[in-house]
Amino acid sequence: MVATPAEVIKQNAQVLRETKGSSSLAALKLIGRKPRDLWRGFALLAGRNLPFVVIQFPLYERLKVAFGVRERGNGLMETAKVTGAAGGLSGGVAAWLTTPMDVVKTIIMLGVSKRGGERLRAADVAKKLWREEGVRGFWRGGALRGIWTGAGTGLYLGVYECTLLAMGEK
Amino acid sequence: MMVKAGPAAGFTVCLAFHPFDTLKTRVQSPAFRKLAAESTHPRKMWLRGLYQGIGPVTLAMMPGCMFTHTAPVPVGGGCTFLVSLSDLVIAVASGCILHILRNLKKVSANLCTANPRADNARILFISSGSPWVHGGYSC
Repeated sequence: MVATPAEVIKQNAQVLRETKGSSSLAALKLIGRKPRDLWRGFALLAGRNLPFVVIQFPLYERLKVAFGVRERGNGLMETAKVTGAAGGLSGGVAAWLTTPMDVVKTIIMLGVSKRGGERLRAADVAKKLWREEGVRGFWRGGALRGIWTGAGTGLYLGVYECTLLAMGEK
Repeated sequence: MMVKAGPAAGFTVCLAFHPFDTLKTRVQSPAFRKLAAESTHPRKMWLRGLYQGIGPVTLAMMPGCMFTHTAPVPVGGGCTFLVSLSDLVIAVASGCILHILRNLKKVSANLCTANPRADNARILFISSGSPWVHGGYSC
């Protein structure tokens, strides 16, 4: 409920060309006066995030075991390496696999602004993408998203697990 | 402290990687690609204002960083962490889906015979061991 309006405003702000002052406020003005539009793409955002977690979380646990994490006895550096690599790989794979949903979501959320104009349906966007660009269209920005999400997830989970270890939570 | 460390680390990573998110949004936007191709300085257009839209991200992540009193959850070792409700919902939902997928036959049999409360408690406990419940990196 909080993430969708933030995502709609953020994405519309990101593609603004020239702004004086806050780009987010400028995007909010462009979106118009219908509060309902701020929740456009809610189902797609959930449809991207839930599969992301469902793919990433079990893959992370499996990779941790495969890379040699133990219940006890791993040093801080070893834990950082193992959990960072497992988190990075699992995050990257999950992000890459959920890119088609992300592409459709982005196009729909950007259609909210007055400049974009039209009210788009997910099925129509997907059909148009398939017709015009094929499979490549659905994975537009996939490499970028996979690499940056992988790096971010690896960094986050590595730091998280190390902090747990250092504080004696495990 | 750990409760605040999770969302705070997630927020820091989000801030650090926001420029890549902006580039990704621009790559995925047909209108922006068209405008950039027609521009006299396409490179400048792609790379300017990479932190545009950081405001809503910051505001949306604030509740996770500041208010962590919404739901107490037992975590291994007898500790109790306080987590934000949205993270808890995602963790429990994903835990439930995984549990059902892994134990499809057992769950369908349990629906008729066993005490469902015991199973739900186990799912919650397993899910709560995940770092996702502490408000992690999910940009």
